[in-house]
Amino acid sequence: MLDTPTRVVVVQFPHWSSFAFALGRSARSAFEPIVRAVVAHAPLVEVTAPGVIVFATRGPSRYVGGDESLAALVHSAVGDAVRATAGDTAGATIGSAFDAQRSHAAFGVGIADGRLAAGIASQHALRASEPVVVPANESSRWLATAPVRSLVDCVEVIGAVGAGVPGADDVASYRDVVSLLERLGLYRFGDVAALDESHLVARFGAFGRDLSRLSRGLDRHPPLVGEPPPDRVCLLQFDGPVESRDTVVNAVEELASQLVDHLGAQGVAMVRLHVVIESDHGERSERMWYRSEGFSARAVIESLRWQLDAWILHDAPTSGVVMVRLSPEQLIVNAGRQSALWGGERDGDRHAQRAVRRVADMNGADSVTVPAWRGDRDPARMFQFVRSDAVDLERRTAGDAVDLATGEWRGALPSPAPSLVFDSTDDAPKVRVLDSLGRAVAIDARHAMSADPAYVCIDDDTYDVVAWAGPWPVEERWWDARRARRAVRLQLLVRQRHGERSDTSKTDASASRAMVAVLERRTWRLAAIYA
Amino acid sequence: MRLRRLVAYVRPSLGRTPVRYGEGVTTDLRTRLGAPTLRAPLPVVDPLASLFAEGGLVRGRTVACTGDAALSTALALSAAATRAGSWLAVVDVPNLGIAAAIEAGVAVERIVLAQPPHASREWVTTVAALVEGFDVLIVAPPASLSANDARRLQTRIMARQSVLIVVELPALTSSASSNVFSSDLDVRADTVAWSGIEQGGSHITQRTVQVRVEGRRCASPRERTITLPCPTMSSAQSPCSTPPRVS
Repeated sequence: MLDTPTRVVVVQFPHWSSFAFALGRSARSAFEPIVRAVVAHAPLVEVTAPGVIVFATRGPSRYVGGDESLAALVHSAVGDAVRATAGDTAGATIGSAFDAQRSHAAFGVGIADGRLAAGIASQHALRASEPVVVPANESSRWLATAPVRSLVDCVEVIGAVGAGVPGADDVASYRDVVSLLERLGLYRFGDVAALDESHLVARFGAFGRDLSRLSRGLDRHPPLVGEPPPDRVCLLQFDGPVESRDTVVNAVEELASQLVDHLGAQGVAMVRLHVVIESDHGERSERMWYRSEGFSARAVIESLRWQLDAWILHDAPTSGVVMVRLSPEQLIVNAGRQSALWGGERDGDRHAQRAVRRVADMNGADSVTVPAWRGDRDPARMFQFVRSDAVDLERRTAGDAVDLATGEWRGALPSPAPSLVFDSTDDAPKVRVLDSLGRAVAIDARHAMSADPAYVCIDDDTYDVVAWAGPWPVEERWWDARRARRAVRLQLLVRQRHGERSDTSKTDASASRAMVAVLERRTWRLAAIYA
Repeated sequence: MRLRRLVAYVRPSLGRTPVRYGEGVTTDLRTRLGAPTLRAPLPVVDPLASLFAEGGLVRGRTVACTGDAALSTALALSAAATRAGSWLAVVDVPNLGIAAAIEAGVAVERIVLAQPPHASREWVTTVAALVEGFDVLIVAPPASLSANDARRLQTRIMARQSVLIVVELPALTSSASSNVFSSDLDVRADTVAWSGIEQGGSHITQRTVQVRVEGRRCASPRERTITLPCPTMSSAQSPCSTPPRVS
């Protein structure tokens, strides 16, 4: 097999999760209309992450008559889909605020030989806001002038740094690699490509080989030299149409681990997997999946779940699933996983994962969750709780849970953070904030309090207010009539009233408690307790 | 085959065993046949470490956290362990502020939150299953939990060499918890001063907490006043600089 890179189209939204969040939807499901817009022109696409689509140009490009017209077509189709997505949620929008939302929805379409070159082309396209097409066979020359810094922006397209170090923080590892290259005086891919591969391997380990191949404009994974193992396509046919999503997933789970084990026994791993799901009425969903480090059975299931969810939600198949097919499209030599001495995956991670799965089986998957950063100024909505089966705990890194780059939210509660937080939908205790005359404290249009708070009633208990901070106004999305939010926060330090508490031996402060109360729509609610 | 026979022989003598047993059988077998392998205590962040005679949380013990800073202290106690690679399960604290956990220094990628059913039997089964995979568990026991079930759970904790931290949530939230666990250590954390907050001005910048450790596994009560969040807690460590776990 020739060692030539595949010519691919990369569509990249660098700020997709922020955009999806601004629309109030999950990143994955909000991305589905965009994927559908692309699928109209290229049936088999690969969704690497919410916000990144990769597909081979070969068929579609010939059909529409050249890479330029394909890029223009995809660009306009995606643009329309984004406008439709933003339009039907945002409703009437006012200029500047809408622009702010639009800048999150900026995207680039790039075509080049190889994923890295196409990824960088899409970054250029993002800045130019028109598609960038690198002519065929020019990619390696074009890439030679690109800065190595752009590796960091293409993490989703080319995959994680180390095949051997799952759990390493993707973006941080790339930053380390880039910073080291720059300190070595290698600023452009051309400089890296000029080095001998063995030197890079000596310095960076297994990733050095990938780095050398990427810099030379080749595909990251060398083509398999040996014969691929036979019977690698798995077909699962159900006796009757299966309506339940979980039943399908459970059935495929067995199959996926058999497939991964079978390939593993032959010394190979799959990096690209083609999944086809068919319903009894002949409706199909097919998609390509990519994992740079090779698929584990868990990763296969996660991909399948994503695809099923998208299919059920957006195509609404009219009958149950009768067939699932898994066909590995690209195989690499399985380098295996070396358990790390420090860092990386340990036994403890596997034990924890097993325990989580057992509890999820017992009480339902919703009962076990992991926190994921969402970003908000409301303390209860800063993190969302994701079902544990929707994330791959083995590959989980700090970067998945909290994105520290966007961690600063203007208007968020100052440190120290409260250890108990309540959303408006939670059944938090009822709270009333009263002034010295027993009237509820009100806030006028200019955020001035009607009187200083003197008492706080929580359920039936009355507390004295010792000190308070605020009021801190929160005005969100004033341009959107449906989701606009106007609230006032007050940090309160309260003490149980004397006489009601028997143990008066304690010092005054020990009986005090700090909390945050929020006034929204003329009612006070408890938002946080510093427990 | 020999092992199977041995297991079959031991099983009836174990009495009432939880439904999901798995490799727990062999774990229990090990504790019954010989002394459990001693493992190093879980590390604890600097200002709190001096409160424990062993310098950390001894595995297999139950720690009860009370006082108005109970939850913050529980998070601070588990922080260093999670950064060294242990996983933390937080059971039945649905409103946990993750930001507070991060501030306390907990490695957020190793937190899992579980909401088991409140019936005593199911609650114990769930937590017992979690004990198999987690080194530290922060639990807020439901009012319905019976002392019998609590004892069974503690046996499991000892067999698996995990640490159970039982927290008392503030009484003003609806779920009033009663502690039926017989704890090895009692950690009482009371806020003695809030700094920063005034009559309308500024905001809380720091809390000073008096932490007192006593209990049947503690020769003499120790007491110390610390500030939360501890300045040393949130300084992130790179994974390579954490010391290897001794086992």
